[in-house]
Amino acid sequence: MSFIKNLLFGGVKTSEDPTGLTGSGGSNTNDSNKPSEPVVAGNFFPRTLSKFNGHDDEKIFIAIRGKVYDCTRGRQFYGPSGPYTNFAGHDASRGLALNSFDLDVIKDWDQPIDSLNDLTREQIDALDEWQEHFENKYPCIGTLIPEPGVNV
Amino acid sequence: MNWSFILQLLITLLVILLSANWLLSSFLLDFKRDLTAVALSQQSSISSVRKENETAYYRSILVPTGFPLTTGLGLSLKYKIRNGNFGDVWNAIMEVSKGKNTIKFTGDEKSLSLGELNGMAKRIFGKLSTENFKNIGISNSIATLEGFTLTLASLMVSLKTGSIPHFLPAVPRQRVNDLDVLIIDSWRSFKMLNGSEDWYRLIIVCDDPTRSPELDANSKVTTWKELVEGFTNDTEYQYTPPDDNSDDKKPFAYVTSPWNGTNSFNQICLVSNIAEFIKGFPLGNELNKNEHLTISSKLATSSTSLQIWGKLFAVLLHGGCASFINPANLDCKSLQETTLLFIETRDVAKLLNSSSKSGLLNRICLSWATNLLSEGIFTKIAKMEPHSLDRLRCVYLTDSIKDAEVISTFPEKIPILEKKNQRTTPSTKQLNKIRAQLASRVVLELYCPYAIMGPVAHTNFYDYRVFEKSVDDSVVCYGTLSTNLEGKMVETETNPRLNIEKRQGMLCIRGFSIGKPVELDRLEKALHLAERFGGGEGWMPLVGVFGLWGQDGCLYIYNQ
Repeated sequence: MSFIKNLLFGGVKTSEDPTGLTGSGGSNTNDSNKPSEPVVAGNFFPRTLSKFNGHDDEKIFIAIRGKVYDCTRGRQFYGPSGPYTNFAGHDASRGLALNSFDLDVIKDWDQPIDSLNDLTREQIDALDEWQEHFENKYPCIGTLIPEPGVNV
Repeated sequence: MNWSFILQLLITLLVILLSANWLLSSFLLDFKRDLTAVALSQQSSISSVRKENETAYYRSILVPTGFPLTTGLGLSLKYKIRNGNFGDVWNAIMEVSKGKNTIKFTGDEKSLSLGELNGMAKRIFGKLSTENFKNIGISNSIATLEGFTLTLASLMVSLKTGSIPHFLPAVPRQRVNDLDVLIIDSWRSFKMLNGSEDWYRLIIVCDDPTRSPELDANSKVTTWKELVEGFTNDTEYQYTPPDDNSDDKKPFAYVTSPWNGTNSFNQICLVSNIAEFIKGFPLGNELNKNEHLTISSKLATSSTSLQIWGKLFAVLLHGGCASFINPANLDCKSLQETTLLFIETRDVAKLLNSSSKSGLLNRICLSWATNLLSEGIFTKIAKMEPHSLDRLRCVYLTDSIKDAEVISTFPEKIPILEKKNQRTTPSTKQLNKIRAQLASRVVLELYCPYAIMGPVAHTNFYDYRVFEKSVDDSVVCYGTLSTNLEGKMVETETNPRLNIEKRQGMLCIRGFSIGKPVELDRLEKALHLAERFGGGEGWMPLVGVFGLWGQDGCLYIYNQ
């Protein structure tokens, strides 16, 4: 009745409080229109990284040699159905070094972090180039560290 | 009449009202809204990651994360894209208007064509560019013919010789480095130079030469009239850009604040500002050749004029006209030609009071109009002066940051937020009343005078939301950041009550319209502060500007 009531008796519709200052707005309500909260940059475990695969969470994070990059804007490459979707939410170092997108070059979150000790000179060079590309294109948002009791 | 009939009548009325309300709310109103509730609730693009002591990065949804901010005009030069500069802009303005469009200045009865203004500016340019002057100090109002043409000429000279127009808040009392030319408004000001005339190689007085005091034969004083003497109507301005994109990095102007801090602005500040203004118009309401921009002369005094160039050049680029108006003379009748009005928030009350229209019918119309506006539907049923305001389509209300001096000094100690809950800006309800009475959209803009060119943030053209009084008392909604800026809130030690998790803090911005301090000590302080709050990534903390990001992505600044 609010519109008719306002029309007849004078008054205006007040919008929901977007600031959360009055407590009456939807600041903390679970509304599907509202954007998801940003992730705090810092340290990531392989387990916490794995959910940022563009599917479980719309954000896409990829780790390369211990650095975590926010590749959300490269969704067409790394998102679901993208050619490099296997890398999303994982440490992609070995895959990039070998230029392979196979699942066996990507470690699961409950396995130790790949030390990359067995890479050849050429593979390391390839990885360097990829890392430089990521460094220029995507923001670095944190570090990948092993989770005690899980990866070490 | 029996009771059952009355009951039936009441129930029928109730059913009709409920059905009408359901029909209107669910279908008809939705079709008539300018912007959907979803669009209003997601006005910014927000980065997916934030650092621990700060919020995510916010920018207008028009420049989503991953895309560049608005940098300039996107002009093509062979296969390259250029941002452009003043030369491109003025060249295009002359080509579009063929010199016929006009600007009306304060104190002048008739408007002057752009051809005449260009002719005068080129005449002055011819005289100033031969002498290899360093910087040109302008203390005149741009709202006057003399001030405007001299500024145009200075901008033309700067492209040729590298001298920089320097906007001054007043005639300098101390010597300013590299200032070779000084432009002053009258012989009275000239007399008050008190010996400081020796600091300059040329002084241009914008006054009647016949009233000149006695001057030496080899005096370095001239008048505007002498400089423009013999000018012709000239509808051409040629500018050949360099092959690279370096011309947008060249200085546009120096601006000195009343508290004596000077900032340098590049050409990219100007062109990104113009592009930002053009982009701000929604589809179907774009700038067109019929625009007439009216600017309050208060916004055009020398050093505050920094904020008018973006809008003025954007309108002229589309083949529109402009005029300057003294706010003391501002009334509905003076706005017959105006389509876009650019005034300070405090002047709008004077405009509304200029109409004597009242009465019951008007009050009902106003009540309906404000109700419809709060539902997101724009209406003109409550227009207070139907004949005078026919063409008016948008009013830009400027609001300035309360303590721009603190920002300009880059202090180490961050002030404590003192919430006063006293609003000096019209409330969201009052803004809708203004929209209804003027039958025009109203855009509220936030400016940081002398430090940032153009608005820091502004509300959406179609945002007519009304917030509860408690929200309006606490904060002012300034919409999203301009498309040439992005921002974040940071945590400060002195304000632990502001919760960064709730997106509250002190505003930091970065982008293309920010001035760079000229003085070395201020520059060092600015760099130090930027390092402290932004990790040296080009962030400029707006010290003392506390606010929060709403769930809708808009910037809300606390009333202090």
